[in-house]
Amino acid sequence: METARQRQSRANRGFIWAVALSILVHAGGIGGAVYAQKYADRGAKVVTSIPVQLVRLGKKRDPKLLPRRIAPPPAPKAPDKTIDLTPDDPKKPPKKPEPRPPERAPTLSSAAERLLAGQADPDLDQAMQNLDDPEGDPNGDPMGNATEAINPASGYALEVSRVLKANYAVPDLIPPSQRRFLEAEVVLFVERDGTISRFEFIRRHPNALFMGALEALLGRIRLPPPPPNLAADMRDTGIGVVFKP
Amino acid sequence: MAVPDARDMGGGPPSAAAGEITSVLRWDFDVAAALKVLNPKGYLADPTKGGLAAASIKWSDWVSVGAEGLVQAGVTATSNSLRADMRFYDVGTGRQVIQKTYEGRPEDARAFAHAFADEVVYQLTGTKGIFRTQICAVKRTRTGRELWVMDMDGSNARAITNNGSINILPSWSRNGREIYFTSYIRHNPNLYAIPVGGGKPRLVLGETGLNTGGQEAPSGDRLALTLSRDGNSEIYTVATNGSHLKRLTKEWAIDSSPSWSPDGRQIAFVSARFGDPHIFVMNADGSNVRRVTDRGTYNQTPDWSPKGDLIAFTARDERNVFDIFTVNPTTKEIRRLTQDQGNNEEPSFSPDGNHIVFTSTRNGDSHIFIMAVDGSNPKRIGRSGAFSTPAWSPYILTP
Repeated sequence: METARQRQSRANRGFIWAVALSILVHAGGIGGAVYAQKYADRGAKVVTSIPVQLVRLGKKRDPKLLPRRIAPPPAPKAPDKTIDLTPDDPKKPPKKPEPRPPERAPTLSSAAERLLAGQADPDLDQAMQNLDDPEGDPNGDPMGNATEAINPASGYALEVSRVLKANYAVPDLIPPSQRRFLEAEVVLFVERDGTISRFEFIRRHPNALFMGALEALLGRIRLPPPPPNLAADMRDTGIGVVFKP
Repeated sequence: MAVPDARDMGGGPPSAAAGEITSVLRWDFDVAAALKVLNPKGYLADPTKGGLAAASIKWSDWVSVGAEGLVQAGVTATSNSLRADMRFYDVGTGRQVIQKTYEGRPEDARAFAHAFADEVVYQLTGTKGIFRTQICAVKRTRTGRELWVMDMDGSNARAITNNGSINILPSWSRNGREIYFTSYIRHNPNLYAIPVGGGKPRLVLGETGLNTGGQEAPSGDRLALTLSRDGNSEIYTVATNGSHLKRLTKEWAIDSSPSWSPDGRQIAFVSARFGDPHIFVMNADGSNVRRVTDRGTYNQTPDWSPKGDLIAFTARDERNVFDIFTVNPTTKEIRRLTQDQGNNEEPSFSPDGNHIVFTSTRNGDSHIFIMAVDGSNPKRIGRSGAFSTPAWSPYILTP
């Protein structure tokens, strides 16, 4: 007859074997994983970034011609003074109309419009001559560029965007290379007199300097008064603005 | 660079002189290009608190906004006197680098600010500042064209000729005291010299035909100029008193617009000897002529940099637009400085060789602009009137 002590001893041995087996299985698993990882690293390709740039294809520039600048010409600076938002005094005489801009060389669009309207157009040849002949390089030219598609805002929203942009100064600490990525979406609740009663950001930018300066601007600026037919909406539901400095 | 508002040391609101000093300092450092002026809207420090001394400056405010240099100015102004105390600090170390005190009349505010900006630029770059230099240009008037002289920022503009005739092509003497120019006052286009402050012009040369483009040699003892006394425009040299005339070029085509190299050994000029006008260089005695531009079809108005490494010139491109270019006279490499902004013409180097003054029609009429030598940072100077052929003065030391 097996005694209780013997049964207990056999059970203990079984437990010890089970623990040892478990340790072996786990150790084997971990070792296998490490080995597999090492093996996988040895076989993996090195991933490198591929610098790319926008290029422009086209015919080579005639070496006898004067060089063109690679960098685009400097953009005109924003006006130093903020925009005068005070409403016109009804007692004041109306402002004189702006002088007509000087005549410009005919454009293809104006010439084409007249042509499509069936009118004889002596300017068409001139307009065709004014068209740029794209130059570049069959293999791509570093002068290549791309234009950004801009969604044209309209009406009051456009005016609000314009005023915000004219009054916003990008903090100097933000490097120029980062400035083109700055963007935030905000809903402005505008009173009838143009005061911003409150604003809520729909989309914030992670750059705290940019956001801080924008919040400061929204806290102090006064917008043009909304058109009467929109005044209630501007006050109650607000107007959404995507702000890019 | 941070330039907070100059303070009125009397404790009141900033005076007009303080405001003028602030704006001049900011403009000067902005022109200097290498010294980027931080936008004052971003300053954390309260301009009304603290003093000018290092001990009263909260440096963390300036470190936080990214300033590496700080200019502090304090002004004490009365109705007939002005005292300006200006200091330049290295923000990183909190060390005062320059301290200057200027005393004079209230109208000296601009000159004080320019003088201090010159000090800062010299301290930081090792090159003399250009902010007390001047520009002479031709202004179109109802009756003709007169010479005007202005500070390099366009202020203090005043006419130095007023003869109702056509006065053109100004060029500074090397000591900055006289300006050579061509005038039709005696009907023939003769070469004259006039003191910078104005006065009676001195006839330098009155040969039959053109007497134009007189430019004084670096030695100051002779001029190179264009004469047509023999029927065709050619380059000559002549002593500054009009004697010792010597012909340097002899070509069937037009040779004109001489400009000395800074060492006085060579002369750049325009010649159409191969058909189209191009920029050429010759030794000062007329020997060893070589062509330095082989691109474009209409290159003119060369001006040799005081550094000697570049010749700036005007060229008409294939779109029939005039723009400013530079060419390295050794490598013949041409670089474009202006593009797609009206016609840009008649470059003249600043005495440090880092800037160029020129005329541009980008805003409509022909106005004077300055830009860095790489074409960046263009700024219009002067406000009213149509100007042409600007010439940048040499260094002029004013008290």
